[in-house]
Amino acid sequence: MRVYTTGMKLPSQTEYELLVVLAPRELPGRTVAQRYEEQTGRGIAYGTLYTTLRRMTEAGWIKARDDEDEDGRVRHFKVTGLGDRAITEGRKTFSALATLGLSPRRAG
Amino acid sequence: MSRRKPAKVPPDFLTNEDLIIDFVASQELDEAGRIVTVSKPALMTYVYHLAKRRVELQMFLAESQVSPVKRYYREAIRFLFMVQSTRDQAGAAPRPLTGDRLVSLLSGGRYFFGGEDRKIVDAALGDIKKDAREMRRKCCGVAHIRSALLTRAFGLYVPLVWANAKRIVSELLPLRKVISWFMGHK
Repeated sequence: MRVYTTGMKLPSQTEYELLVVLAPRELPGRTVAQRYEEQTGRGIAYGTLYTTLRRMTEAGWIKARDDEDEDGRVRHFKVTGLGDRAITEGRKTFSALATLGLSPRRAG
Repeated sequence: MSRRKPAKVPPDFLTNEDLIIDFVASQELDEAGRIVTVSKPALMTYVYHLAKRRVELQMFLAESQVSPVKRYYREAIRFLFMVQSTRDQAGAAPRPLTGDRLVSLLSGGRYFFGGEDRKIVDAALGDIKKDAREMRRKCCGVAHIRSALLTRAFGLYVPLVWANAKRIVSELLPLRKVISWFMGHK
């Protein structure tokens, strides 16, 4: 069984989780942090969150949009077409990794 | 019909006449006893003291006219209001402005960053302000809010500094490139 299906850069675990959180719709950074904590059970610091999201923006997986409210700047993030592909590839890869080395019967 | 006693003026109370005598004594007089020069500040000070003493006298007289029964009820009502306001403060009322000064203090760290990093810090500080407001709405304690804000600020600045340090190190790590740069080769 081949684990890496294509030649495209694959997301790390945190990047994949953030992509999955952002997949349904555009969200501001604070809501992303809250949803991430709800879905994974692990908190994420704002510095880690924003640097990871910046790295993902540079990779072309998400798009960032700046806005203003009464507390100052708000940054909204949205998954791009490339990000959707990264989610699909990540899902395939993580599924393949999870069943790597198991007999077909145990892998289900 | 009860006859009310006239109000007693306290002995240390200066009357208008006393003030006028003091004022004239402090000024320069000519041979006929007239004031030669009156500076504007001195005159203003005199008018201010006069007005203040008059208000104090009026308040003292007004207070003395109130009957003891009425004064007792008034004090009782004031005490009840005081107790109620103390209960409001100790109860579930939201705490205003807790942590706002701390957030503004922590926002000073944004000046150590530039470009995209500063934009990230601004966005994250807005999020921290929202967190503080939410914690105030949930009536969290002051110490809890402060420690949470400090933790969040730490979690904001440290990864940014770490990412920048990593980038600098990754730029410098190819020593051959650095040596070539020092030697002037391309």
